[in-house]
Amino acid sequence: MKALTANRLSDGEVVFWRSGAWVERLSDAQIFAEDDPAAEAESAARSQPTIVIDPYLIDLIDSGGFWAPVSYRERIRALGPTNHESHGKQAEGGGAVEALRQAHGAARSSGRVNLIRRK
Amino acid sequence: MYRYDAVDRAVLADRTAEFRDQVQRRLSGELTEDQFKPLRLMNGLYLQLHAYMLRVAVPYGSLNPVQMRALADIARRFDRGYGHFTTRTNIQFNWVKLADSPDILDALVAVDLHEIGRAHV
Repeated sequence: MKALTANRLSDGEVVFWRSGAWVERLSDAQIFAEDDPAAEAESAARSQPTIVIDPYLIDLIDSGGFWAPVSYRERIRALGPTNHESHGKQAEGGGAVEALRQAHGAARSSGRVNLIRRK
Repeated sequence: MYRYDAVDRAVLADRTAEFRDQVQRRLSGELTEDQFKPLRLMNGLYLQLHAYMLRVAVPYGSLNPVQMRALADIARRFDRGYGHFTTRTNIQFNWVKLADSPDILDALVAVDLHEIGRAHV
């Protein structure tokens, strides 16, 4: 399963694609089970350079009923800064935030699909 | 403490006006991110994992009270009420919005602070 993420141009906030719009919570994001819709969404996102910066797909795994990113870096992006629990959207707490905190994944892999772009 | 003279202030005024124009052109789409990124980095504006981060120079690690209050005011108006003093004697604002960054630069220049060269390009 995959999701599409980017940083919002206006404030750098981590956002996720949801049917043509961008949401701030991974729990609200559109989940892609198939490659084609995911690739289509990615190209559509790339045509929005004044809304988001560098959209890309990430891999997800199940964590206690919620989808969580495989990679540690993406879990940090979905949660918030690691220097303090009250910084960023992780301060909201709740089931989704707990699931992101508990998720296990690949510590080393970036979990980003097609990280190395082959020309 | 380093004291700015009229030449320093004129240089900074030009610099902030130029940056304001660059931000405007990025927001309108006239500049791509690849074109804009080195320009914003030259003005100390990073894009980190969660938000933009503006790094402000504190020359010789010395601040006067007027500057201190101006930094606090910037943190309240444009950020989340706090800043981060670094081991390199800079101060960093972690939640700035791109469209506000020219106004923040103007507020810094008004108290003889700047952010030029505060990032690696």
